[in-house]
Amino acid sequence: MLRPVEEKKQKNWFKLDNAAKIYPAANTKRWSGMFRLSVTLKEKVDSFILQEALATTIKRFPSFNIRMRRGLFWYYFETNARKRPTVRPDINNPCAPISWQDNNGFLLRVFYYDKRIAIDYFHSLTDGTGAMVFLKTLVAQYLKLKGYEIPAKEGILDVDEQPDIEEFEDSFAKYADSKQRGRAKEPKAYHMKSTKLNDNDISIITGITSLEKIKQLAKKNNSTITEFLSALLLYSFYKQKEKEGLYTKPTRIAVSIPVNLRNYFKSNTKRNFSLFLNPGIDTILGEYTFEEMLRQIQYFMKANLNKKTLNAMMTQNVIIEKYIFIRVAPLFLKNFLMSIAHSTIGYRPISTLLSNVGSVTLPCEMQEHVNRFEFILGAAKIRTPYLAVVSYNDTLVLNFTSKIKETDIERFFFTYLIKQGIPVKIESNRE
Amino acid sequence: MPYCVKCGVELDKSAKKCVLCNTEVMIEQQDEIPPYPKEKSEVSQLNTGYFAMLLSVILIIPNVACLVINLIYSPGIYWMYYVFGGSLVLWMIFIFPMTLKKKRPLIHVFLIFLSATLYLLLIALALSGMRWFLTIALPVCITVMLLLFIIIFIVNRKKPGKLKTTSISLITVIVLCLVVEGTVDYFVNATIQFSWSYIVAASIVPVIIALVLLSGNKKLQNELIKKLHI
Repeated sequence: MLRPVEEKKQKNWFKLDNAAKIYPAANTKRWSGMFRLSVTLKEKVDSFILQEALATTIKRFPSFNIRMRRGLFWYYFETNARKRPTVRPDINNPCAPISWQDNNGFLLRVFYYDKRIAIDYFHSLTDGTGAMVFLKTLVAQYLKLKGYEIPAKEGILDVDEQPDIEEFEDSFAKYADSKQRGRAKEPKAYHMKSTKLNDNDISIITGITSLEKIKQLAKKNNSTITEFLSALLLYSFYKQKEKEGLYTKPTRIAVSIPVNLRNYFKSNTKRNFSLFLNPGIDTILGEYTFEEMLRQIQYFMKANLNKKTLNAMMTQNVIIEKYIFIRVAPLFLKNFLMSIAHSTIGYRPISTLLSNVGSVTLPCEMQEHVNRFEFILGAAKIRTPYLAVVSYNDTLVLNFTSKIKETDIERFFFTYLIKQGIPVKIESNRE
Repeated sequence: MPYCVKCGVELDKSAKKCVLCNTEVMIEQQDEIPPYPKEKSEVSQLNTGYFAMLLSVILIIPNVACLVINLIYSPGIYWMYYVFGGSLVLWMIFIFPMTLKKKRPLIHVFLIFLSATLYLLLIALALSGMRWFLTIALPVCITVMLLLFIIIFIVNRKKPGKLKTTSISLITVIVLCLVVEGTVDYFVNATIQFSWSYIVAASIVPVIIALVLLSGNKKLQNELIKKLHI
């Protein structure tokens, strides 16, 4: 049921949701929690039309049409009504750090390059799912302005419609109500040794392959695509650790996998609503084969992917911000403590991260204009590559992002697929 | 379409080499649009020059205030020297490096030496203690500067390991002890008779010898790490 918001009643400010709160605190001049979704069309992008499409689209998304403001105790989002976000030519280092004044205060940046439209989002705004709806709506609007007939279905929102109140609700606050809090204790995980790139640089290595072939390979191993790719990523890190010493501490290797909570709790929010699960192995127990790692990940996911366990994890996160002594602490103190917590305990239980936004569906009228989708995660604060996965029709795009010189993980990962008989095409922003 | 002969992956038409293994592409280049543009969004660095200026201004304020107080309340007795000299040394140690774009340790050390010597000279002038300045302060300052120069020079040029750097630093400690004792002796007794610096040297020399021997012996190092690691 749609509950459109009346113009007058429309709130002009929001609290940040639970997952969003860490990112402004951890934001520095050198690092921001960013991620990018991009689409490659079949013809060259017209920046003028794109600008028009963006101006219309952003009005439809109240939780994107905002700027970051400082309160005395918390940051908050304020509707950015008077200004417009601008489109600009793409850059070599996607997910570059953001400051609150950039781009008229908007926390997203829209780029165009040849046939590509790319959006860098600040993670406080939304997660992969919400961001994909925005990108799809923007592209649909762009194509409409170019004169094509595009229906508003398959996750594309109608820009003339009034936004539904559920679209910008804080679903964490709504659903986190478990009596039990927290998750099983996670020991310190292995971080690979590597050389850092310059502050301005980011290493992006993209592997383009066939969804159908990966699906078959995953099926042969009785697993889903996410499980299979996480196991392969874990295996690449395992091989790296083998070089550095399998039994040197810390021995745990874990891959963090964001879970879309909309699949477990009924929510239509376009803001953050996801949670991390950190499956892994411990090499102190001995040597592992690829199949053993895959089983470990599968068992972990099966045990934890249910409403009750996820609710307990979510409640743990939400409860922290409810403590009265945390609430009354002034913002600068919170920022200081949260940024320290983010760069220490935040990265403690994970070696790497794999995020899969899944398969993108588009209405038939739009498919003929779209070549492929791409998903890029911002680099980690620690020196490790992250993997982002998205697929569209038969094109599966695997994107490794990091701030390091070495490419051992990426090379092992892709050559493993080649050895299994799956062709991979590599693209990169590296010289 | 180019492929990497080592990894077996297909490469972009604009690629000059395989990013996974750095193997160069053999096929002739075509003028294709690369997957990313060359322009980068620059990280806005904190303007350290501006910051240094701000700090300098803040440092000037107490100096001016002290000068005024000095001139009004105690004309003729210039204790202002201490404040000024101290600020100068502080400025050289902490604020001067901010104005440099690249690290220049040799110039930095030399300037700290100059300002510290000037500070001591001012104190000596104010207390009419030119004798201790010339016999103790100046030689010790010069020695410290020269020793630091030697260490920086060797570390930058030869890139010795941790063990060798430690032994070089220990040698300079011995030299410094000798100079300090020599100058103090000369100042007090007008003769030079080394005593306690020998003890320092005697206890440090075996450590230096051990470190030098150890630095040439990888096997022994591994053995020690194995047995003594914490």
